[in-house]
Amino acid sequence: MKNQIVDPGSFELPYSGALMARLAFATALLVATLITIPDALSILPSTSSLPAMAVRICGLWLSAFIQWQLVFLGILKALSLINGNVLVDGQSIRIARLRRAIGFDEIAAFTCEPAQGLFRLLPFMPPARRLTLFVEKKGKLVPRNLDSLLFEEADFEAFIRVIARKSFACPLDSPDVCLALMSDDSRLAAGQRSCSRKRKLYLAYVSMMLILFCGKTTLRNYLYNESAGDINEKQYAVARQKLEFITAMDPGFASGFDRLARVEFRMNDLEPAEKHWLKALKAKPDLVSAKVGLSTICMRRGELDRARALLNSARRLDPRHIPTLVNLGYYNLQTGRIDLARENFKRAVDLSGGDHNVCLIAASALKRFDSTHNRGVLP
Amino acid sequence: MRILAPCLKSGGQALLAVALIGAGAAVMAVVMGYAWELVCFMRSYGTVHALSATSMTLEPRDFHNQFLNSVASFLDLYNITFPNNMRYGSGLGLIAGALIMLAFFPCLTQSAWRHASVRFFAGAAAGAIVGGRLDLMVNSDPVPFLVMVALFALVVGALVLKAPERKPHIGMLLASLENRSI
Repeated sequence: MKNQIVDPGSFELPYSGALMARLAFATALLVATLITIPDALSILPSTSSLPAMAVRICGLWLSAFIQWQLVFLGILKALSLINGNVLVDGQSIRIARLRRAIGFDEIAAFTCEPAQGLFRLLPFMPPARRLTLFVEKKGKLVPRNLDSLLFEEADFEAFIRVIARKSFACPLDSPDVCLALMSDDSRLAAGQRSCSRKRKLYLAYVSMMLILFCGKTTLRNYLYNESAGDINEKQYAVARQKLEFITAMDPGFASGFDRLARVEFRMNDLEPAEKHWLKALKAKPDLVSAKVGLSTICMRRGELDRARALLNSARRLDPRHIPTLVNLGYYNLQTGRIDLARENFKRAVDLSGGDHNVCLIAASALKRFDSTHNRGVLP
Repeated sequence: MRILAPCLKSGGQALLAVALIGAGAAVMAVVMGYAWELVCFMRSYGTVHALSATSMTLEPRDFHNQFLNSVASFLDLYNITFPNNMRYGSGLGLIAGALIMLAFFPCLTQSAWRHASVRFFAGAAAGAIVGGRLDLMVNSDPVPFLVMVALFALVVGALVLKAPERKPHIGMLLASLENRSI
């Protein structure tokens, strides 16, 4: 009976797409709420009023909810495709495609009980059951678990009834059951205790990781938001210290590297600025602001071809990015294409709706070349 | 003509599958694009906004190849249609829409799904959308875009083509066991 292949005439216990969507929705509600609490703390430094705080918290909650719902549903669907449905034939069951089949005569005992722990926290989900099969393996009872969350209740109940019939020749009155071949088998109690201990350890591990993750993200975002205030007050050294700390804490935080590089650039520290913009692009290859920042350094060094490539790539990624247009204007001025430069600046001014900073940049840049040409540029 | 009839029929269903998946992805892209714009507006409400533009045109690129020029124009059109935060949202929508339509397609038309060509083209269409959007995360050049589209279309199409056949429901096994015991 070992490692028996389920024959082509097998039956299946299918995963339910509707329940997957429901589970994704329920977990998204829970996770978005949990994540929003630390996020609300982290936006404190950059929020000025109570209504703004309320709107921002709603936005944070929605973004977490939408992303979790879509990504988690995708993961569930992909896992169910890889795993395959639970297959049952006359002699054995296969819980997952890549696991060995379990013969009905290998099952020494099984329990089916209401699931505890995190499952109880999920809103709008039917009560879940956990099936534990105790399988004979080299004189030991090895537990195999299957949760009912992703199966229709009637299907899961039918599955339990099939196991009871085939392994114990016993019809069931209720799906909540504990059946064993030998009632005095001490290994069963030991196996059950071991399962329970493992579940508690797993829950403790997940809770600890969640707290660590949320704590780290909160601190990172809080310092990131606080650094914006420091930059506005031109306290670049303080902002740099904070940003260096958060980028050391989270080496994949592209926005942190981008802002750190910007601060270093303003402090005229070009080498670390270039290094950090490159790191930002490594973490997020479509980060337009990092490309624009790098292009500025390249133009200062006279690496005009590299600057042009970066600006063209940035412009393709975000055609409405005004700093890209301004830098393109500078690039064209440096390469002597005055008409193109004027056109770039004019577009930047038009697109910004006559923002005074953009007008000032465009005017001062063009003045260097031809003081008469800027008249048609400024609104 | 009689021999060709099943091929023509499955060909039509394959085209319908591709159209359905494309339409689903496009609708989701638009919906998610606007939803994400709203969400990001809410997330940064009351803070100082970066400068953003309202309309823009790009100079056409010339690759000396009509097809590549068309693909480049299409990519520019996408970037202009979904600027700033909408770009991320539309990406989420495109990928989710394509995969959701692919997942629900067998439920919509069980008979069409039995044709290998329909399964392959449906998988290829979803794969092409996912691959294309993943490439747009890195650049907006037509050649790598086409390579990613072709690669994902082939891989996902082959995976869906090889999807295992559905087996009878476990309830039938239980019924047969209970009948036998009676």
